[in-house]
Amino acid sequence: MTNNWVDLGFSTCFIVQGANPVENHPASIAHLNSARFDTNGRGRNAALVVIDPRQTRTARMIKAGYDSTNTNDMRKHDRFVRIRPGTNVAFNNGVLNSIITWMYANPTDQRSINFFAWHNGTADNSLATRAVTADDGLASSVAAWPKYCDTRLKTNATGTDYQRETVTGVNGKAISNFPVRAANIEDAECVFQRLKAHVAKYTAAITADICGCTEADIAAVRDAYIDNSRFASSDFGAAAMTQNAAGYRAACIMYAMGATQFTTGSQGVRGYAQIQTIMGNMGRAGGGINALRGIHNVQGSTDMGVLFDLIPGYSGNPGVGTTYPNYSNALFGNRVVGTTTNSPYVPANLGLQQRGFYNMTTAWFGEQQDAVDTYSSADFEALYACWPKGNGVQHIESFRRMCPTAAENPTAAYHYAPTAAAPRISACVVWGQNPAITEPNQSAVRTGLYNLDLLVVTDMFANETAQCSRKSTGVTYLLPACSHVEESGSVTSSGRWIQWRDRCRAPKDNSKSDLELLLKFAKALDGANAFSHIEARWATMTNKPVGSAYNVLYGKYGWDGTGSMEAISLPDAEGVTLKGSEHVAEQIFKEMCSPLNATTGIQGTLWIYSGNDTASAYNAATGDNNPAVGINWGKANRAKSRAGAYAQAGTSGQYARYGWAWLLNRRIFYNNSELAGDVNDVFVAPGFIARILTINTNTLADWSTLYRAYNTLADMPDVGTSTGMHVYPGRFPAYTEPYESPRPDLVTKWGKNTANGSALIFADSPVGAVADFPLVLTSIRCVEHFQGGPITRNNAWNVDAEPDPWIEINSADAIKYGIADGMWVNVITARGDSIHTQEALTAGGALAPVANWTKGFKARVGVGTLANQRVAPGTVAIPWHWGDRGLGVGARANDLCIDSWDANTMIPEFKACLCKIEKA
Amino acid sequence: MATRDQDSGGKFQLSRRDFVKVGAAAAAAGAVGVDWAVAPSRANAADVAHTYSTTCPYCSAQCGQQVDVAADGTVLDIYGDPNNPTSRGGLCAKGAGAYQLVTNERRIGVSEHTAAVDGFDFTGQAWKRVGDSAWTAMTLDAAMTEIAPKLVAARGPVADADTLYDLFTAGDVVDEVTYTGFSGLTTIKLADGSYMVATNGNKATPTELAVLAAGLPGSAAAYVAAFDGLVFKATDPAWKASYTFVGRSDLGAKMLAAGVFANTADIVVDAGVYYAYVVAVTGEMHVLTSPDMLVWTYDAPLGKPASVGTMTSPTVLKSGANLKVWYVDIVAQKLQYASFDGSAWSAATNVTVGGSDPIWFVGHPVVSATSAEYTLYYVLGSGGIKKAIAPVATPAVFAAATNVYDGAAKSEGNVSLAASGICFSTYAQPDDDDIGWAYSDIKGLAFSNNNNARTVMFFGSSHMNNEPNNLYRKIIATFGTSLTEHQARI
Repeated sequence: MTNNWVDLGFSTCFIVQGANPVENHPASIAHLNSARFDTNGRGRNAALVVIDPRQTRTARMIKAGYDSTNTNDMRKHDRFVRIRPGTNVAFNNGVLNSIITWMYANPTDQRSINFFAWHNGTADNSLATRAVTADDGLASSVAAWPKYCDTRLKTNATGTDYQRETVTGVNGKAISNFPVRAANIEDAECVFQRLKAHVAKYTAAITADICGCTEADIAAVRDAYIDNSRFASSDFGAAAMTQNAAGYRAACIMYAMGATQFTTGSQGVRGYAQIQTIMGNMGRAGGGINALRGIHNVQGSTDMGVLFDLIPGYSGNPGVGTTYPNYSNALFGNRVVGTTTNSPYVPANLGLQQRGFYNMTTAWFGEQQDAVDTYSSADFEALYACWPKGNGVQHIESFRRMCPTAAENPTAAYHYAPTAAAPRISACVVWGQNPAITEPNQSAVRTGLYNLDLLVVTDMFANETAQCSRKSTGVTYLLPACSHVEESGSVTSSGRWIQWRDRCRAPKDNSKSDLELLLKFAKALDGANAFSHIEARWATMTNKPVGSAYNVLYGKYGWDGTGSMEAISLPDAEGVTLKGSEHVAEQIFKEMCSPLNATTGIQGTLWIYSGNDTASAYNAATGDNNPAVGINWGKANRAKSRAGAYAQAGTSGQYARYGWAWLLNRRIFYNNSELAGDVNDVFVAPGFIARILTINTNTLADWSTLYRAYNTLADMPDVGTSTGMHVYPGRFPAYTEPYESPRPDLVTKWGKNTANGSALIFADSPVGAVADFPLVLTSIRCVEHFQGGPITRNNAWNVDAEPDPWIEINSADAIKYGIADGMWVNVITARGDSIHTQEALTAGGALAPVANWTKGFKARVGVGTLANQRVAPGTVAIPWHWGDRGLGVGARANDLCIDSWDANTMIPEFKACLCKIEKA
Repeated sequence: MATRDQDSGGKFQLSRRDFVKVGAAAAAAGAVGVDWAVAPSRANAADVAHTYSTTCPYCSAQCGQQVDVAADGTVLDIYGDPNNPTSRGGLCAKGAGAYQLVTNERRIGVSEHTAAVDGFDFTGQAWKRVGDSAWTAMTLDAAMTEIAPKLVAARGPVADADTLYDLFTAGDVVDEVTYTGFSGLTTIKLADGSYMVATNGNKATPTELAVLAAGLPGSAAAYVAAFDGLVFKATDPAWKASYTFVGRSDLGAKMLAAGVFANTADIVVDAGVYYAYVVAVTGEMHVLTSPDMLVWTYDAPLGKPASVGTMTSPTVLKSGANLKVWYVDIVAQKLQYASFDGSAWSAATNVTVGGSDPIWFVGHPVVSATSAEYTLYYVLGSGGIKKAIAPVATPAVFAAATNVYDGAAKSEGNVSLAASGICFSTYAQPDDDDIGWAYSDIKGLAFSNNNNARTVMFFGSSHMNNEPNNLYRKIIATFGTSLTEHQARI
């Protein structure tokens, strides 16, 4: 989320596109309703626009009526727009085209006037002077620079990069390689005109055909955006937001897996960012784009870099052959290469992300020094050398790599031929996850799990992964975790708020906190000499850590790895006694969140949870700071701050003392210092501007004082520009069909997505054709169950509420396939069916199989007009929470789902594949 | 969840059953009201010894929860926290049921769990099974003690490129070398003032060729035709006066045929090609040949040198004190290194290499149009560097022959060979340009497995708090791998 859950209450228009918050994020709905029904007495009412293949329960909230006499009642824009699964990008582009067309067609409308003034830099407060680094490595600045976005920057002919020039900074210094500004957005070479040309192909008629919606739908969504943009707001051009005024306008986008789980997921989200940026809704209270994340700490675990391509703080893995100075030079911070003044080995020279990486390197692989400059460059290099270099493998590939060779097991459903560069994965540790349910194309996943030599599972329940079928020599271990109230620590919500969890009691009986299990794990690994390569590095250092690897690297968190962790009882900074895991969690929090530039004690390791001086999330200065709101923090550990009363919301209305929000306690990203009471922010990209254009180079912006690397996306349609439909593919989001498409005619014309030409599926993955599988399958969730279900399917209350998985079908399809409501249905895709094909790979032997999960899905047939039912004809929806273990069992959606993936995030295309259905 | 769609004149209606099931979520969602549905604690107030604060374990709204606990630690109830600005005391059907998560008899490791509950008695500390045989209970310490060495064995030793020079010790002599294949075209200024040109073929840009053609005989087109795994060396310091080709006979013939060289005297035939390549401690690539002390550097993120002639050793070797650059002395057939103090190279030093441990590396074949081909080499004792097998399309299986990897798992010295494949790789970064490929290859040559134990996968969890997530990621990194994923990006 660029904004946060509470901030939803400021919105004047909710565009819910690819989410179903009523069922999956219910807490948002009260904020949404408070904005819609004006419980705060602001004199305005927010619209709700739901764009989704299903008429979800969220969609059913529209049309609550509106007051036609109140010009600030936006509920007149309420609308449900049904689109075909996998057409988000086309819809976004269609709306963008419609918006741009409208702006040109209505030149005397104030909203159009404001739109062009804002983009042309002629509106008040639309330009700023920005700090840059000159060619000589010293500070300079550029005046009259766009404050918000790059629409006025010029691009080269193919749109692969901005045009570049050498400019002279305000102090006379040369700044080369700087993007070229056009006089206004009418310049044919500027980003705005390139975008206009790109989306011009998405006419209302073409978009409606692709998406299966009407042209009126597109116009209605356009109008909702225009009426709820910065350009329609009473504070347009003002230096500060008036987020409580009746005439204030800001639309927000709420999205979740319904936007991301496609081969084009990243481009769909980028499209949201483009629309919201173009409409001036970024950095606004009630605006922004808001990812509604699925699991309570998915934000935090992503922040921690538990991904194949990241380390904590969204830094990439140091690359193979990347030197430390070059690695550091590409992080958010200061130029440290090609300048004589900034050595990256002197921590004081480093900017936020750079310093966090420096501190993390010393804290993770060695010992931090009390004074900041203690390590010599050679000693630091010894620690940098400990970082694993290069990325791991993405999740879908990892299961393929577990599979046997054809020679080893000729009858296996999937085979893998190891290479030197891509060896077999022979061991797997699964900590609090259930891939035997959650991964697509389970046939391949279970083949891989079956073939592992070693599988270790840590969970609260004996889930499907722990009890999957295993080869005769495969060894499986299961370790008992505890519930959330038995362990302490911080968690980070989707809105980036970090809250502390108390340890309410010790873990029950033999279950253990994750922290105790992990430290025991580290201790055991040390006992097996797993860290000897690090100790070998230490031996080469002048200022070398002394002690065992466990004691140096892990003992500092407060437990020696023997005896009972729960016996620990020590006070925190305020003198409150912390027991067991709460003490250990506090030590790790302190290491992550202390000031980056602390001159004594710990220097924070996680730059996004930290900051310099009093800005950090763990800080001894507990007064009224960061920002000053008239309330003291009172707690060194900011996550424990609980100023949550209505009266403590502050002038920003953002509860700046309830928990702590990264970065630097900002509640709304990119607010451009326009929201009083929030911590100032800018667009943290090269040039301080949101980038509409995806450039094709990742060369560094040496002049940038923020992020120094341009990020690129890998998306490229496989038909290129040859069919005349794609104008600047890869530069702006380009619609392509899902890997299994019901519209071969559109595949021919628009193609499928690739990662710079590489297919987003493995060659051995079955792919069905519409002739054999005439229906589109999309996977869904319900409020009673959670993700892969290992928690809720073991809770009697949840199982009682929703005992069996179901299929939602339109009455027209029900008649066609002879299915009555309540009947069991077998759903079949190219990868498997819901009754037969996977049984052999589910636990056998002494782990008796559970038969109930082979019943298929229970039919829920729509009632009413064809158009007004949950799903449209030709589409079926199934929940994916079920599996073969637990109190409640049922057919697995992921036996069916395709294992194609997004070109950038590798998230599978769970939301669109082809199927057929039969009576079970 | 409604049992099915109810179309009631466009208005959504909740049945009582639905309402009970959905609880606060439905109350908040219905268009009829906007209040939070708050359920107070069900605990008997007299039993409550402590009330703690936590957050809901389900979705990412992180609604506030209050936890009433008795003096003996029994959790009495979990209910919504009215002080939480996100949820104001509301909880959905899942969050309102969180109490049952704590007290659940199906949890493993709790005393309520019995065989009757879940088919096996999971009241113990940890469990193990072999194949699909029954679980057996064991102590947690015993499980950890078993798991750790298995993981380390699966991972193998962690080596990295920088340790190359540590691996060679006194006594070894190099008797056969092949080069890794220069990908892309570059020019090299020799220590003696002469120049070298290297390419493997079609990757030179027209601009580069034009630059070269300006200083070399023949046309750019001729070089396109001829530059296929070749190395030119201009032996005269003035470098335009004379040229000699050093390389395989077939390639020499090709050079003659292309008219790049007029006389067979210009062709020095040698069966191996011998430009060495090795990595300095900074990680920048330095390619040297002896006796000329050629230096080819590539500063990966900054791109290729702008033009011929600007690339000299001191300007490109700009970082790192006490650099040592390893290279193969073709003439002396020795491994050597030179050291660089920041401004000048010291004399090359012969290194005695040896020991009984084989050192394996993968290099590219001499002529390679693609980077998918590999050759396996090794150094063993005084036998020098041996070629284990000729280039193969995939290095998965190396045929049996003398000095050839036999496919069995083995671990010798700092290199281990797993039965399932070689533990090191020539991992290449597809984003890099041509020279970057060569650079990555050289890392492979340096006995690197990319620092990555690529045989152990770690799955993390979005269900964990930040601190265990951070700790888990640290353990994975110190274990020496970056193979990690949490619940697929959500």
